[in-house]
Amino acid sequence: MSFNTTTGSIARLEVGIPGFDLVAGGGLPAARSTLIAGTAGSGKTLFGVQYLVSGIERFDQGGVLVSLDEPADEIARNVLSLGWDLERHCQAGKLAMVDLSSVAGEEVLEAGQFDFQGLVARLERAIERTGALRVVFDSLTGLFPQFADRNVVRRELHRVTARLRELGVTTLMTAERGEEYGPVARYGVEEFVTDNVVILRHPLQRERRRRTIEILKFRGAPHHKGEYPFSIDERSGITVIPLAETGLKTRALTERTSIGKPQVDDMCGGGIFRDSIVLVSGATGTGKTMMATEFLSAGLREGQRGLLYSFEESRPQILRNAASWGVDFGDAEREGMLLIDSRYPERMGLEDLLVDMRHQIEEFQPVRLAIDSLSVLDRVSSGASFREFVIGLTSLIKEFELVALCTNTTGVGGGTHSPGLTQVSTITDTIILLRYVELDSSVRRCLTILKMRGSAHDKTIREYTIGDQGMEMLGPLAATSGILAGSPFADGAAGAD
Amino acid sequence: MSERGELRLYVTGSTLLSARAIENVQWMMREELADSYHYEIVDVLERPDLAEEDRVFATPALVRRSPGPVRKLIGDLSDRELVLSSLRLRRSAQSGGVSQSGGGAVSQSGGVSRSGGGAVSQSGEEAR
Repeated sequence: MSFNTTTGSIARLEVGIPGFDLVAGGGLPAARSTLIAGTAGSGKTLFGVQYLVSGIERFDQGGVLVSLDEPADEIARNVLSLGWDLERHCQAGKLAMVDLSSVAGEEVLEAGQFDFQGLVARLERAIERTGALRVVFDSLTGLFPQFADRNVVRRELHRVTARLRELGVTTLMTAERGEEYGPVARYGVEEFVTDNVVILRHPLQRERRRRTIEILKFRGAPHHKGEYPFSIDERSGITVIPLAETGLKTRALTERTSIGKPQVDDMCGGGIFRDSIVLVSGATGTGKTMMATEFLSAGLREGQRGLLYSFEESRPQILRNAASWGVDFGDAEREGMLLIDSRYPERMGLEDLLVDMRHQIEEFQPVRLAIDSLSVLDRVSSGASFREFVIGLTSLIKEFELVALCTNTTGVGGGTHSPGLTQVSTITDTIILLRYVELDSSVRRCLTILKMRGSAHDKTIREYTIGDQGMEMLGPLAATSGILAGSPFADGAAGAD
Repeated sequence: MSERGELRLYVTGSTLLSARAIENVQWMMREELADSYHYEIVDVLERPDLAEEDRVFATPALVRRSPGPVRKLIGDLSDRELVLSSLRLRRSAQSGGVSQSGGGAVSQSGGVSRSGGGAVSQSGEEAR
């Protein structure tokens, strides 16, 4: 049952926790046991319960919850806020609770040799009644202090997992660990009870908890290595963020669409690609927000829904600015064509933001997505979490075939990107650079397309102005060099290299 | 009738541990506990629901269901002294006001016992 004879690899049980199966290489090794270890509050119980609920609700696979730390009905009460009605699943015969939590005031003494065959008998009955394919123990940690010799517990748990394997069920056992980077679990033997080990972490980084999941060991089964971020929210429980390298299948769309400025479309060789990511990079006041506004406005004219994430300006500010450039965002919102989400990203972790974005995109079904600005997110997060956010965002954009425009605020002087954004430039399809140049004793603005993936593009540097009608394109800046380096000079002038 | 406490021995089929636990319980009943308790033997393989009720998972397990508080003795009960000392009841006035506790060696308390083996096997029948 657990062995796929055609490929010689271990069969997988698709878990159904969003993103997890991608990281796990298809799911948990079927008919095996897996330890889920984590510090207090890392989401172990939630992972276990979600594993059971997904099995029941998505795959019609029965489940058994063995509770050790707290009574089963208490676990049921705690997950009710996530919309998981364990009671109902029990009544429907899809879920059984095996309660091993100790009863208050009860005395337990060891008076000789024992085994866990009583547990095995109860498990077998529960599995038979529910047709269970999934069993969860929450948690093993509560089991060890109940007995004098942890090696006996370990030996007996071994026999339990061996029996569960014979029965063809896939087992999760949670265990508590003391520190984020240290021994796998508290008693030092938990990891030897199971075939596989998964670790949940939530270290504090920059005063915020950052949740990650790592598959430490899948015996004989390939999986992705390293830590992957995940979030916990009230709507879907745990969502593991599927990073791009987890092999999301996407197709490149060749259809083009307008960026919102006909002259810039021309520079791009006839518009930007659908399902591409455009990065507009420039100093403050160069017109990035304006480009984002015109980008969404162009979509609205073509009947394309737009979603705007604004991390720097409030909603009234956005509406006012757009109106001053002749774009009525208020109307578009009322018609359900536009959704403006203005928030301060300091409030939440990037993992949560990404999951939120996914929900919003799923619900609103936009064609265009604008993020103003990406650099603000970089500032409020740790490097690793920003990198993961960008990768997650990219896969989101590709998955929903959105055309996205993100802005990036740079310094007024030289340099194209803030340090964290160098990785953004590698995932963007098109980079548009907005610059101030000092020419003939006056500050002027210019635009150039730094890169455009999959298309020829105009490589000239063009001047533009910002007036009442928004951005107005002028001709190329003739006979000037050094603009990108931040110190332009007229060609032929002394000091040229 | 004097109220006797209620013991329930959980075993799993006919394993060595099960056999030893049954033997130990029978011996202790015979020697000392027959006046204080009646007992039954439950095979978890046949009645997992009862084990569920008493939250028994490590087996064999002897559960004192009454009088309270609930007490569980886990294992084959080969530590008879521990079992006896934790199950001895302090007799109140009706039994002559003498506390029964305290007997050191098992053989001693065995000598004081007035139980007959018959009673044990009878109550043992209930669940088997």
